[in-house]
Amino acid sequence: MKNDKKKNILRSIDDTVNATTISIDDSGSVVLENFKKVLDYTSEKLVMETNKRLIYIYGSELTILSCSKHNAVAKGNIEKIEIFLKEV
Amino acid sequence: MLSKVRFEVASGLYCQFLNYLIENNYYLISIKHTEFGFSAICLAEDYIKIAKIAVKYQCKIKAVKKIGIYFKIKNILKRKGIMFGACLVLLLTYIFSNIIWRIDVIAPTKNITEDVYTLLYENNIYTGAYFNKDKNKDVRMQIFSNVDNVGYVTLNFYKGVLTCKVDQTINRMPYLENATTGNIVSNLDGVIQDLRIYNGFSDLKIGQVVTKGELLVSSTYLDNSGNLQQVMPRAYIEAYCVKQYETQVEFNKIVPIRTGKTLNKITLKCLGKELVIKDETKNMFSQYDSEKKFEYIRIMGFKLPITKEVITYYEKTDTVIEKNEEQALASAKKIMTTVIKADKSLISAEKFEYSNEITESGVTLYCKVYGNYDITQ
Repeated sequence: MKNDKKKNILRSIDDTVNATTISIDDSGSVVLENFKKVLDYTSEKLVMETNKRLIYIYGSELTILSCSKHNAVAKGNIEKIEIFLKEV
Repeated sequence: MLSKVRFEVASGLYCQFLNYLIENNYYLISIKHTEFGFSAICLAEDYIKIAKIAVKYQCKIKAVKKIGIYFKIKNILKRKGIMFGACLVLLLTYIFSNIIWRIDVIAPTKNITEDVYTLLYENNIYTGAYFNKDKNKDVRMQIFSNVDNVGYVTLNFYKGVLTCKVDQTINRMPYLENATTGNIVSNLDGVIQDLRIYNGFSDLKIGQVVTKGELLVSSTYLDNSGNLQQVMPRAYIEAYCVKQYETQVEFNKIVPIRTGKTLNKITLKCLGKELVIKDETKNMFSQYDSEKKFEYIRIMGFKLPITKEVITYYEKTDTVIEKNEEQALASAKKIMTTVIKADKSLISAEKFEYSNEITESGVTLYCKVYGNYDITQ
């Protein structure tokens, strides 16, 4: 019982630390924090994988301005962003 | 070197390759999608490693653009002669920046310019010599003290040119001795230690011996057109003097001792009338010195003026001396110390010499005080 509680607490802490955040601004740039992988990248579509979800960014002339291990800044004429739960 | 390379990746598993680069902390910016892959900018140092990794992911990699100073001067760096020349130029500019190429002396007369040139030459300052910044101040002081009629000297060294600007002193206007009105006269014999003349005319110098009654600062002078002008002289003149103090204590008498205690008298001024709030000076024997301070207090939003008078006084003591020489001398010494302290002209005392004379009526104590006095008072 005690171990379960501890695991739950640790899991919740882990979730909050590694939570993915997406910030979008008017100028058409999207900042993604704590992503895992770039699954697909074309000038019309950018697919990113996070811990629990898949993020689809649609638009035209999409460029990745800067990219580090966990953060990425994408810019272009963004039309829509879709978020899906990963299939387990 | 902060130089960067724009490379283009085509065909192969370019998405996996991009992921690998991101996961392994390769610095990538402005990633753009191309027809068959992507293009990005990386650091020049990382490019060779990235190219090797690209082979693993079956990608074709190509450097499109080289950005940075390193790539611009790359060809020049290979030519050793140019590099050696650039280093030599830098070295020479550093060495020759402290060498005097020209000396400009700006002086009002020819004699002064010649004197300044000779003084500079004596101090190893000439065209082609190495300029020592530490020596600058000494040379300036030497010019100031050795060359006649020099009021102000500046020495500036900039880009190999040493400019020495010398200003001439303006002759002092002659003053007339006039002891009748407003002249400052010496009160004591002594040697001048400090001299500050704010208004008026004087020929005094530090170290000069002055006698009592001698004119220190004159109030009248003749201007350039020959008219008699008069000013209110104001000066602070300090001199090393010897002053003798004398106190007498009679036997069988009440001796008032000046204690130098302070008492407060606070009065409230309102509508031209004075209301005494606190008065400690009622039982005062005799007033010695007083200082008034005007203050304000706020009561219920009103600003009330208060005059505060601080008074130093002679304390009333009923000590009767009955032909006791020791007691008389002790009380005389007490009085003497307060008298010396009260002397405003005494600035700093160096040595005290006591002597006494005992008569039938009482004791007279003499004290010679060696020290600095304000001789204008």
